[in-house]
Amino acid sequence: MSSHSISLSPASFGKMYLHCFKYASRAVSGLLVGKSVGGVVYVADVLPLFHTYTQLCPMVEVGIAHAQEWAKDNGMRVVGYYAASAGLDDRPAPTKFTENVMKSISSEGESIVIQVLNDKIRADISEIPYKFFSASDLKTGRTAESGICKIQYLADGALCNLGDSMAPFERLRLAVKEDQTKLLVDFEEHLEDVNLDFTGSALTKFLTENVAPLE
Amino acid sequence: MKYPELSEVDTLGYEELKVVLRNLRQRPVRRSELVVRCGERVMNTSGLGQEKWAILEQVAIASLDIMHFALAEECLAMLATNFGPDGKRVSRLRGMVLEAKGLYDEAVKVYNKILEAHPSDRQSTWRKVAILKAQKKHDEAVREIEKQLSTVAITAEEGYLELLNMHVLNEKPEYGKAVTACEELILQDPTNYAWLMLYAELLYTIAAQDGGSGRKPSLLLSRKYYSESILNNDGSNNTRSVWGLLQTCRTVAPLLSTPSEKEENTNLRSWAETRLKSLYNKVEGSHAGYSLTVSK
Repeated sequence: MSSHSISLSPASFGKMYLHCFKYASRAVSGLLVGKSVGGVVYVADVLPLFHTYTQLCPMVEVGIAHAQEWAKDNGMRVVGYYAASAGLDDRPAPTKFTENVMKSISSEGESIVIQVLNDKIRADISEIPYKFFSASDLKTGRTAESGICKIQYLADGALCNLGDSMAPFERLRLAVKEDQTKLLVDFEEHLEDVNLDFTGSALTKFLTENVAPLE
Repeated sequence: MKYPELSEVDTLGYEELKVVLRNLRQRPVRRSELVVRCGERVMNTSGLGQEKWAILEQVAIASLDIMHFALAEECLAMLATNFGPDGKRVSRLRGMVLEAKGLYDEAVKVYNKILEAHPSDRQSTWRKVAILKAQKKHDEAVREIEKQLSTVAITAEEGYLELLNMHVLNEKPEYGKAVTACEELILQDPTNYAWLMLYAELLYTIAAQDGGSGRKPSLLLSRKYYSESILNNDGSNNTRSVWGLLQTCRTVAPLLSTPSEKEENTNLRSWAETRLKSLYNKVEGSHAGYSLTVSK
């Protein structure tokens, strides 16, 4: 089944962006954690994985196992994978490696790939810089079009819009201005220093401050 | 080495700023915005001594990295005034300004002129490779590096490392060619734990794609190289190799048939599990709990 829209939490929207911003000259990748809500995949959080050698298997598999434990602990599951290529004008398209990662993830339920649009990553960001594909789009090769990404909250089992739709962008611009990329820790950094927390709770708190649901 | 946050730069004195810039020159860390912020404060002051020219070059390159062309050209003009417009380093910087602006053909002319006078100029050689990569001419960039490996222009280590990166990071990775490049790196430095770990990861990735009889030998070799990496560095900064050893043991286990193979694998797996448990038991934070669960 192909979805025409997905929903991103303010934290997941911001963390993918900051992962790209922190490693602006490199390809980056990560895992999406969330759940299906009324047929729409909701990405509640992300586990940033790598900023070098994004296409090597063993640590991706270890990363998926970590993401599954973290997701289960929060009543969620691994819902997909995100990737950004290195070059500013690279045409975003899922690679064979992405397809193989998705095979490891798809058994849990409906899943998606988010591809970052590098030319939309900027310090004064005001639009969502991602396109997405469902797992079935990958299988059928339907990757030319993308559906709609919305930034929403999950409350009482339902997706709800934000009171101020520009609030996540303002928090992200502030994160860049105040150099909060240091709060973004990916799994690769964790493997070099196990004391570094890849779940990024401090960054989640920063990105969601003053970003309230519509009342 | 800890560097100041961008927000702290304005609170630093000139001597502290010079130390920051000196440290960033001496270590290959890419902190271009920090260099520019520190450099802007000191570059027009007196008292820099002989460091002035190195600082100007450093600030110019960092400015190009963050597309601050005006500052880069200001630094270039100051260097050209002191050293003349046709010196090797000034010319190369001029080439980099053209390259950063996307004027690749003109940049290549500048680098070729430098290489006519200085055929072994390493940095101009690499700039030409960088242009080929920026133009998405992957195969030409690979051929250029392979050609230069037989000269004195680039070192074997940097050449093979760049080849490995290009083969792995390509849209369609060529893991077999990356393995060959990694083998050359290991020949250069057989005790480098990072090369040994990378080799193990490449072999595992090749095994993951192999649905046939090549899977088991690749996994066993991967397991061996993860072990070699740990033997050469069993510090906590090589935890990645311990995870790799555990993952390889788990993945190869169903393919083993003889009792001795299974016993050896079980022993290695137990060692890795015990090591990870002892590492993560000392870590504070909920993330450690997830790692402990995954490592069981």
